Amino acid sequence: MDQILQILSGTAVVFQPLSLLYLSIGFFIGIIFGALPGLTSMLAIVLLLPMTYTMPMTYALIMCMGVYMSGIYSGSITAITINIPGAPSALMTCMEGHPMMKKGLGAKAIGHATIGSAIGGTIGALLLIFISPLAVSLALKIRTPGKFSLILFALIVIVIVEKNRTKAVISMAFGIMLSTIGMDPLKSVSRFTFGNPNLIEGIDLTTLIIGAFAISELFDQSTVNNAEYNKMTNAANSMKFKRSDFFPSFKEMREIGWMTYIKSSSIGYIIGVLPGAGASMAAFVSYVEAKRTSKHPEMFGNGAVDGLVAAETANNAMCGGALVPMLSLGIPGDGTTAIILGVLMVYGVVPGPDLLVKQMHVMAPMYMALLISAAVLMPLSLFLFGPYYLKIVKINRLVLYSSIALIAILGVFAATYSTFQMAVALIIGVVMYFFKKQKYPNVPFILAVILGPLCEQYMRTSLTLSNGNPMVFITNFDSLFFLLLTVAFSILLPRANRRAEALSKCREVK
Amino acid sequence: MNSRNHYLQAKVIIPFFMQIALIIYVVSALQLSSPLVDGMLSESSFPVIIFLVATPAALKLLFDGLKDVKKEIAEGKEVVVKKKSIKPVLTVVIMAVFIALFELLGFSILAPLYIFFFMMVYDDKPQFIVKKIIFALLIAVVVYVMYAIAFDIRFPEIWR
Repeated sequence: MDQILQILSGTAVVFQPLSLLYLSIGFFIGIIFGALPGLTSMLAIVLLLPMTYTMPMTYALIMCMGVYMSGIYSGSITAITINIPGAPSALMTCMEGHPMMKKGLGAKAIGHATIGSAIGGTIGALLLIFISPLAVSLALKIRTPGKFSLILFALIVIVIVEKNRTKAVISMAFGIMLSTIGMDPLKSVSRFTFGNPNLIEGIDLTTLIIGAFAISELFDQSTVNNAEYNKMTNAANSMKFKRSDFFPSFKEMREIGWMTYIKSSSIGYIIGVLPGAGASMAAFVSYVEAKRTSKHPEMFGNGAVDGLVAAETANNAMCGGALVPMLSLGIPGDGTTAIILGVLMVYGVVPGPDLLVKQMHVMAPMYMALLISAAVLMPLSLFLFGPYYLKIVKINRLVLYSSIALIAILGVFAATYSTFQMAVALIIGVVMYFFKKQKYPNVPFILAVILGPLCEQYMRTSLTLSNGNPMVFITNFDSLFFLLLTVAFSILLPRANRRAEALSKCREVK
Repeated sequence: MNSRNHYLQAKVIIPFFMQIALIIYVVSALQLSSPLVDGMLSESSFPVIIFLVATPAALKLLFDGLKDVKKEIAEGKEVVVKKKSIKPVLTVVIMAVFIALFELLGFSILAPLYIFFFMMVYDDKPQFIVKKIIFALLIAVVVYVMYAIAFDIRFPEIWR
């Protein structure tokens, strides 16, 4: 109860003028990055990462929450208007939103997506606020062997949830290899420096993140034909909607059913808690479930509003879920929370179960910022800026990407004051570009970069404390629990994946 | 038909180089120490575990890639060499030149040039040069204000 009160006391900080300014900046950056095809909220946080070095951590986290929530939502705008998901999580939104657009119901589709996102985001944030303290009190019981088994569980689950597990293993191994360059965490020995003194301190986290997510994306986007892009976006530019067009009627919402909102929020939240699962999976599972229980499944694919609502509600509810393991256990729930964890690490915060206990006063406003970002989605998007969101794609692509290119490369310099690290970011960007082209997932990479060194540290410390006896991982109850959980997930998750795939194939055939 | 082209596909090259990197990684680790020293894990133990976990995955991807290639050769399939865009390479070159000269020439000279050439590469053809120069200068000023003034980060300059 004390912790809940502490979290709620963060409201006072969020409502300070400077906090609201950072939240608004984050919110609108998230809207812009989420709405533009090729850019994501994760990339926005990546670019903001070096700038957070000079601001108080609370403001940095508040800004990140604004980006996170609005970036997931705004992916639906171009998904509905031009059939291109602004963010990967809006893929299912395309399937129902764009057919609605073709029927002349585009504004209404955006309205439904906004309401779904706001409800999902709010429920997710509330669940986060009320469940985190419980998770923290349990997390405090975890000792070093348990921390190792927990990270092992997270790393294995991240691989299992990916479609191509072999490629996920390679992506993860690459991340761990890079994170082990530099000083050994327990001994004063440098590793993998190959005689280069610049590598003794290792590769900076900002270098790794900007290289892997911003620079590789710039190479990828350079192949996009500008004329074709403009032709696509012109369609969105020419649309004119009145504010009143965005409001769905109460009757329509009743037809969708409150259960759809609640069920989709729950699905999104639970999937968010799973390490590495992310918003795309939340939207997919929720969509499939909505289709399974719909009174008119034949409408799915032709503009079923409940399918659209299910996907959008779930992907925003995921935000709260993904923050639970990050805050209570130090395990990021998805790629974006991994970058947010990177922001914390920039401030010298060590991820782990005692994070909230030691830093609650700094973290509390973050919870409230997430809740407020979700709550203001509806009034801001429906009453104020909705029609303007459609114009975001009008932003000159050349200006946008060249600005990102400069901000990204200077960001590495700002974080490290080293041109060597800038060169390393470029090399990592090139490698990750080839990985991306061959569909190697990048979420296992970033999670491995963050969790890899901790995994090594806890494993070696546990074994040192037990005089090298590996039974320490079995005899400790917390460790055994996570090992059993790993085994259970290794068996159950692939089965669940296969069942979901079979179900969706079966429905497609029908 | 040149079968070498078949083998020079990313599905073969990436796992091949990953396997090479893993071997270099584990050899460098083992040069530091044995994985177990006096019954305790040493600094090379974790890299050895990563090698043992990732090697089967890299080899699987490599053999899958080789199997696909062999199948393509047996079926007499030609490697469709798509006209690949040179733009990613140019983007890498621009960034590499920027990094190489950053400390020597500084922000004020390099940043507008970097943005200008970046826009040239991103555009479909060289057009609107004056507009691009103006945008390059404006973006450089905005980014400078953001980093140097708002966040107090000092970049190298030719005069210091």
